[in-house]
Amino acid sequence: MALSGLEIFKLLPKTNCKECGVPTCMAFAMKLAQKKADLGECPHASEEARAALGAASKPPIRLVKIGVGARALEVGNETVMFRHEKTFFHQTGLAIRLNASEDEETLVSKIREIENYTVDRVGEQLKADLLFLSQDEAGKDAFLKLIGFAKEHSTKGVILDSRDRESLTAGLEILKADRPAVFLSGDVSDGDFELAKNRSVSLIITGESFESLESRVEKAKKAGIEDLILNLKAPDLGRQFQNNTILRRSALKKNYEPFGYPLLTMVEAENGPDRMAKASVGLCKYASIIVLPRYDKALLYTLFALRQNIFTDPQKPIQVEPKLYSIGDPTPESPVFLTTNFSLTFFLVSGEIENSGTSAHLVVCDCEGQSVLTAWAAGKFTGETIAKFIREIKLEEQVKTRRLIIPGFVSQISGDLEEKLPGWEILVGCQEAADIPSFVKSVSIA
Amino acid sequence: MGFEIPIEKNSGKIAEVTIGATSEQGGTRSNTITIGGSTALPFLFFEGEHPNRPALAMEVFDKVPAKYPEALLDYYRDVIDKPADMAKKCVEQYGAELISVRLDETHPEKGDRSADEAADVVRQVLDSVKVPLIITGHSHYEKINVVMKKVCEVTAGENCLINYVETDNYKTIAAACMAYNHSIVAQSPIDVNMAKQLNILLSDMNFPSEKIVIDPLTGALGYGLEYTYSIMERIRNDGLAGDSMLAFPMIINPGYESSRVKEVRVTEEEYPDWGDMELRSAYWETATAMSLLSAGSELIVMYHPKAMETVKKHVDELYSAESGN
Amino acid sequence: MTVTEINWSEEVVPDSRFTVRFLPFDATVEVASGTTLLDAAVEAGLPVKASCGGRGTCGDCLLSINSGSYRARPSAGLSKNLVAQGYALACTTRVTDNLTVHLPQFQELSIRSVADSGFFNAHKDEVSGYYGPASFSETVADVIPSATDKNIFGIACDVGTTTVVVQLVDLRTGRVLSTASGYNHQLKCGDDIISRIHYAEKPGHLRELNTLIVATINRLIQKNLETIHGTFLDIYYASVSGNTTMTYLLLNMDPGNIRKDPYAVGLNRTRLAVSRNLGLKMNPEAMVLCAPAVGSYVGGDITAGLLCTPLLRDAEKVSLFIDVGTNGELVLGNRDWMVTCACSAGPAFEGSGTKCGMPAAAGAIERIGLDNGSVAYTVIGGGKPKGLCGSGLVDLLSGLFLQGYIDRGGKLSEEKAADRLVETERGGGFLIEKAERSYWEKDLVITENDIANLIRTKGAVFSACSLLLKNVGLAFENLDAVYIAGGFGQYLNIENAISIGLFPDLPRDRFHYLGNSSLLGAYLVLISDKNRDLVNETAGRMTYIELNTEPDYMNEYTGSLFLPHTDMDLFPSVKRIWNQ
Repeated sequence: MALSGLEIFKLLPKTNCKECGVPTCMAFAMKLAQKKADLGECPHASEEARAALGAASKPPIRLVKIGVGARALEVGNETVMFRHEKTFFHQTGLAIRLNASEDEETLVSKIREIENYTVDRVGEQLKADLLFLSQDEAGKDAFLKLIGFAKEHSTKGVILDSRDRESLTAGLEILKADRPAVFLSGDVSDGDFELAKNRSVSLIITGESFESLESRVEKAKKAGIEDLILNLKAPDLGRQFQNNTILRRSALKKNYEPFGYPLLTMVEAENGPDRMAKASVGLCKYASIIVLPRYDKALLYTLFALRQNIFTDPQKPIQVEPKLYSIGDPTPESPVFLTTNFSLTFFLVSGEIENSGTSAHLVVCDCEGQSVLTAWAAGKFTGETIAKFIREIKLEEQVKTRRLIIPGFVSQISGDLEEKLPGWEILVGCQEAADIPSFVKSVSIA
Repeated sequence: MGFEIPIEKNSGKIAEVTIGATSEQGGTRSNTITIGGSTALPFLFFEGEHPNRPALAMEVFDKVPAKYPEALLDYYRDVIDKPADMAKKCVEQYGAELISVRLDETHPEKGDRSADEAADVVRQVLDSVKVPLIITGHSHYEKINVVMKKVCEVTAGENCLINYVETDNYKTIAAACMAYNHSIVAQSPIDVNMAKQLNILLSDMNFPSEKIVIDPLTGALGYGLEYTYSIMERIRNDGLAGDSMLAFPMIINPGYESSRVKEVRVTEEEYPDWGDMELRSAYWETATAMSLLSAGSELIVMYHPKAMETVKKHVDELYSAESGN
Repeated sequence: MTVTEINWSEEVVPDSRFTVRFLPFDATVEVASGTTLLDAAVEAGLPVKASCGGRGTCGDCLLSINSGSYRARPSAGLSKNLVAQGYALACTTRVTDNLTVHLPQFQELSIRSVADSGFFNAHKDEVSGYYGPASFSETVADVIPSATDKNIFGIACDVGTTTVVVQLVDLRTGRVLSTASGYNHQLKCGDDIISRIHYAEKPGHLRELNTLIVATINRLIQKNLETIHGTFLDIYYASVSGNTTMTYLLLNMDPGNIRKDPYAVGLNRTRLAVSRNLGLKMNPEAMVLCAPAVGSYVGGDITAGLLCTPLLRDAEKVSLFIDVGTNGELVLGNRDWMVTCACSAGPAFEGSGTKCGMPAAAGAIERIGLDNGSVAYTVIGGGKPKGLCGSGLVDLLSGLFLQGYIDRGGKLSEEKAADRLVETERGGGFLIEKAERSYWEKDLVITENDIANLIRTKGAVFSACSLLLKNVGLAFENLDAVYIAGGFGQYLNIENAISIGLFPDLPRDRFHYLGNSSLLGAYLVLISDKNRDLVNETAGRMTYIELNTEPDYMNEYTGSLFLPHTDMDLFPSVKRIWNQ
């Protein structure tokens, strides 16, 4: 159980020596309680404190890694059932299935396409994380060829799906430096564990029931394999929802060790919308890896947006890139609006400008992701900072208008801004984004 | 020791709200829709009851929305400006279990239609379909109060769901709902406390608790969905933990909110990385609805027929666990 | 003085210019003949408001004209009786002469000395600060003459955002000789700390703010000296406690740095300055000591204020110290640990920010009770009421809520409040006293907006309490004592403060009302170097928590914007009354 700030404080030396870099022991204790510091930073911590804090901080869900380098995927280490309780730490990895039975040309072009598919959303570069390479009905050679293509054309982590041990051994040899995972459907035995021994390989253990899953995990653990991912098969979405909840809850609330691993969910459906529905639910409810049956840009993009939403740290606002945005098709004479780079503020403001039917420029200032009022109170949205930013983006070279519409909540900065931006007329807009359309109507903006 | 399913029993129960009234109940609907009644988190049948499936509504308009997405117009082009016909299409072709009538044109800045005209639109829809109705208003307090009073009066006995009241404007509409026996949507801006405060205010004026539905305010996917999602999970957790002022079913609007975002209206030619627009517009609404269903929503107002079909199918699939493991 | 009533339509020819001097700010402007006093006040940068927009109906811009002649138009907002006493409305009065004008809403305060307030007197032996004969460190002692026939005075000074109090102390005996208080003249540059910080950003404004606060203090020193017929040369030592921003401004340091990391740098230990460098009206060699700050918004008023409580002495007990001023500051802890935070409470309980509010001075309603339609109150100094001070506002809000005049969100009930419901320039309100029985001969009304302001203020304070406790992992019932300081007035009804949700619902005997602890703290630091060491040590041990960056704060805050709270179970004793 997590300790409170005061409980931790009582274990600390109480000398306020500041050697940990924090002014007081109490401040350090509160950082420890929020897991924003490590006890190691305190040079005077007692053995007793180390023992007490160590026991309280062991992660109940193991962190497992697939792939190497910058594109490695880390999943697990989750600590809560609901994102509002703290945050979900590692976002769901999206894997795309490729079957060795398909023809080589198609496979290569798909791998390349997936590899090159990257899309920007709110300043984040989004992409699929893993290739799920399935031997399917194909023979060893075709499977190894597929693995070879992946090795050659892709930097993504790889999951091998096969029950043919010979193929796997050879495949893992090809990927020996790439930290792949192996999907082992059905029962497992020592021969399977041999695959993982002396190699950096994670094993995905499947089960048809809680009991079969548990017994297979126990076997793997007995064989000394710790990097596991769990896949409990479910006949339908309802059962999958319940299973994943039960597994996550057992790990977090009961410290039930056999289930203290990240979960993998297979999405299998005939058509796109069905896959979308299943993947959405999987992503919300505890799948650390989702395997999609095919490459579909619209689906991936939608799922990226959902993943970004669900895995955003609720305690930290999402920021959009501070810059000049165009809403609609603005001309140099179109009006210029101003707001902060808190994503929600940005979306509301840009959406409502769009709804107003006006094309406009939108200056989005860097306010560390704070909303208008918060940023203003913190001194990050003042005449000086805004004027500086407007000069940085060379706004005057990009628009002809010299009228800037500022959020109604910061009407008090208009005078200051006028001083700092000579030649500009500052127009105080409405307070709520929802009022932008009527504001646009009421003021002749040109 | 073997594995045991960790069961968490809740002391609270989400209120059951019935919308619509049949002729025996003083209305003209062929059936009523009941939502709520759960004693566990969504779709967890192993530790509680979920006596009522989430219900799926679709929406019609007194005025064609200014920026209605092309991808949707393909389905509705023939009826979009005929609310009664559109309602019929939604019910008969797309399986809507309720119809929401959105009265945007009564807004003084969007047409300023009179309360009587609004009442006429509602009447027409009532006559054309037999499912229960949701009447959806806007945020112009003075006008919507007049409109809703009139609508409540002319639909007396139908037990419509009057959508919505908020903390700064609840008394008039709530009183009208009580007088004419309608249910109400209590809308609050993505905040647990404000949701609860409004429910307290309603209950302090003796508004019956079996007639309140919470609207936590829907943020579309990519546009604040994460806030709605977490607020809904918190509302549901608190409601189940015994906070009776939060133990109400929740309504969400994936259709309306998704229809306003760029992602459903730009083509693949303009944004090649975003994929096919037809699919994407259905996906966006589906993902918004499915994630918020996971967070506890019971009443979902959809726009996209394909998304509607998909969500309906998966609500059924989520209920497959009802029969036990 | 001559008053000429003119036909308003008759234009006054702007052929000459006159000066208008506004008191108590001592702001002077030169305007053309015929300018309204409202325009003149705005030009002088004074906080004179007219909610009717200058139509002469709201009566907000009331002035009293001390000297000079002017032309006034009779108006609905002002009775004949007040006109006869020299009052006028700024918006309907035109300048035709050099004028000296007094802003009555900023009249001199008569805040009683708090050194003789109840808690301190009763607990002198338990409080953390040393209390006894004066003793000084070398730096200070060097300045003080050794001759025994000379007067040796010191001043204790509480520099608030809204009000400033200066106490003249005989350093030989520790006796308080005189106390004077008044508005901070910086008020014309903004009501709260954030506005002052913003104001200071512009060129020349830091110096202006500095000059204003120095002038405010000097004027109060002068008043004290006049009372005892003393000379400023005899003042050798000053102890100042103020919030971080006020202390920065007094020291002419740029408060813009307060909001930037590292926060409040340069003030985390007591600052010793020489009087002549600050421009204070004291012996030029006199030492000025400013109590240390802990963070951007927890300043010397708090570190010094803690000396007046037993909090710094207790080993096991956990206490909460709450100072409700223009900002709310809280300290939780005991001898071993302390956490502190500030919240922007707003000046509602100090009398600003609400139409009917005023400081705890003569004419303020300090207690009020509602009983089924009738209203009973007591006025400081007796007579007709001018407004309500903090304690009165707490009583009123509690009464309105518990008697059902307002709903739990603070909205007036049209049925219940029917016969006292009035419409004002600022929206609907509850009539406290009719015009004929109130000092300004205008209806004394609390509007829904005022109520919303009060709820925001109490919500900010309560949510800060609950967040502070959560941060260390404690619950309200773990609090052994709650010490309350602030500008409510001489008296505060704890029961009512709890029923509106300002303070947690704990056994009433755990609450102790301190009054102005900042001033008392400044006094204690003044008389003893032991206290000076203690205040430094205290500042070093306090852990500052920035509420704005606490993810839970907004949630706690919105939960508190209800009467008494969204979660009534946090207030079981209020729930019992409410349910009846």
